[in-house]
Amino acid sequence: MNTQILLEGLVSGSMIGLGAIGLTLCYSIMRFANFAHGELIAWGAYFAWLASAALGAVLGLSLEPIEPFSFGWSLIGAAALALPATAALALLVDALLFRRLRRREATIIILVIASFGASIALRSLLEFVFTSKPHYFSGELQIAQPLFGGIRATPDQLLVLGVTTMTMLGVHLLLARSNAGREMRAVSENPALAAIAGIEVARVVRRVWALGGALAAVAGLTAGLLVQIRPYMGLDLLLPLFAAAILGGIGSVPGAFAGGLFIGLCEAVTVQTLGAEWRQAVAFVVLTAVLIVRPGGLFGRAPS
Amino acid sequence: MNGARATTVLETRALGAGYEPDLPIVRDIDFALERGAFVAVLGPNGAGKSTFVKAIAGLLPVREGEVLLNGEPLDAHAPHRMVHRGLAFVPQTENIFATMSIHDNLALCASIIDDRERRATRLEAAYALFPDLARRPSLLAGKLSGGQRQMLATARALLLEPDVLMLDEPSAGLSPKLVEEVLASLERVRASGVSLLLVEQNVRAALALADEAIVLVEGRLRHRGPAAELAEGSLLGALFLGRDPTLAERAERRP
Repeated sequence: MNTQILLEGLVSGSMIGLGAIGLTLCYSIMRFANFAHGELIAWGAYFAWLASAALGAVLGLSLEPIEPFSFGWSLIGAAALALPATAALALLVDALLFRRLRRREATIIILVIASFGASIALRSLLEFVFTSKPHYFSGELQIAQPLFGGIRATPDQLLVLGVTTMTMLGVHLLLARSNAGREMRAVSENPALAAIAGIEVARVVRRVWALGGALAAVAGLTAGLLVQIRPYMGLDLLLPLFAAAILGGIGSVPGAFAGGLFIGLCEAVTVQTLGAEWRQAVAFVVLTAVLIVRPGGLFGRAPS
Repeated sequence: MNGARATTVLETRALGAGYEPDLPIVRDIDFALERGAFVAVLGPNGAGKSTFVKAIAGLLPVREGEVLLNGEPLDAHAPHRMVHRGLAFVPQTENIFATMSIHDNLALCASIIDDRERRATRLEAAYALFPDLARRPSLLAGKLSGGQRQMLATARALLLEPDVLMLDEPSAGLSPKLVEEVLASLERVRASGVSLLLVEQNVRAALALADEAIVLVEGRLRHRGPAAELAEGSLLGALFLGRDPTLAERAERRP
């Protein structure tokens, strides 16, 4: 087996992991599987693409690549805009849809089906506005540089690994150490008790949507950087995201990231050994196996 | 009359509450808790004792009537504002965050205190009231014994120096020795001037602690009187069995 697939698997796995963190956070606080999370990732990528082009055209921020990467300063500025924009989109979807359903004390299945609807609407809107033609942050081709042990990587790939790992650590620290994180954990464990302890649950829910949206934007940026920007990029990621989040254990941030890395590695090995047409099946097989063998996931809380 | 009204800290007027809109579990409850008083809420199983306190705490919708704290109506849709207004509640089960440390459980609640110094003082006071908790603040709350959990839950509720503390069966599921310990801690709470409303199945222990008791039967307030009076005589038994207390009293007085 080729050691190069390890790197490919880790890079795409780190992107899946980042998306899965947002998914697992939403799930543990709102208690429903948000099938529109993939679309938040796609919208994040489009926001960044739009902002990058606009910054290049209006402010004259350079589209020229910053050595050794494939993108220019405009994308860094665009990232700063895409994160809050995607967070705002997540809050908007909640305000228009999920919050109304929560107020009516809708059951979980209604929320899940509603998220399916949101997913279709958000995806179709992308296709309507931007067409299904793929876009790229940069037209630059990157040459993979030799690292060690015969492994080669492009600077972009290494950057993605670094950014996703730092983001995961940041979210983990936020949850473990900060007061906002403590409030999120409290609401995740017992919303009624959190409320009588003086925590405004609605505010925590808003924060989680904003955080989930921002993380989706980072995942979208990395996906756009490594592959391409398409309206269906979120849908294609959906099953791997769920497999990673459930494998890691719902609510566990490091678990979701580790789950993502695992799925990425499995996909890379499968593509190498069985062929690229089997890639889509990997997440499905892993998800099924986890649900049968260890439904709580690797780092999940034991069901009480 | 006016003087008595001024000392009322918590009041319910024609309170009706329940899980379903057309299925009230408690009905038409007029009740007032005076400042510094310790009132036990008694009644047979299913009488609506927990529903009564949960509705006051904002955990269940108030379907009829209203709840007033220090003379101001409480907004039933915002249980998180209750602690700011001076009303603290300790539910019967799941009353601590099991996946967090003892310290995080307390710090979480203390974080809504803006003043840093006061926050530190209140945390110290909580540990002083329950020295057991101070021994290992980093311990996961889920690993605590039943009695310690109850102490942590009570300490959490007292952090913001409430006017009223409501407890829903703090002795449930505890061994007799622990029941004594937990209830003894309530004596200390009461000594600090907090008004207490205690739902308790352990009638004898509750009456030994409280000044007064109210008895709920089938969702209605059937009796209110001094605890000592209820502790003696057969009135309570008659109430629990659903008999008319006036008849029971007459029967008692018969030679």
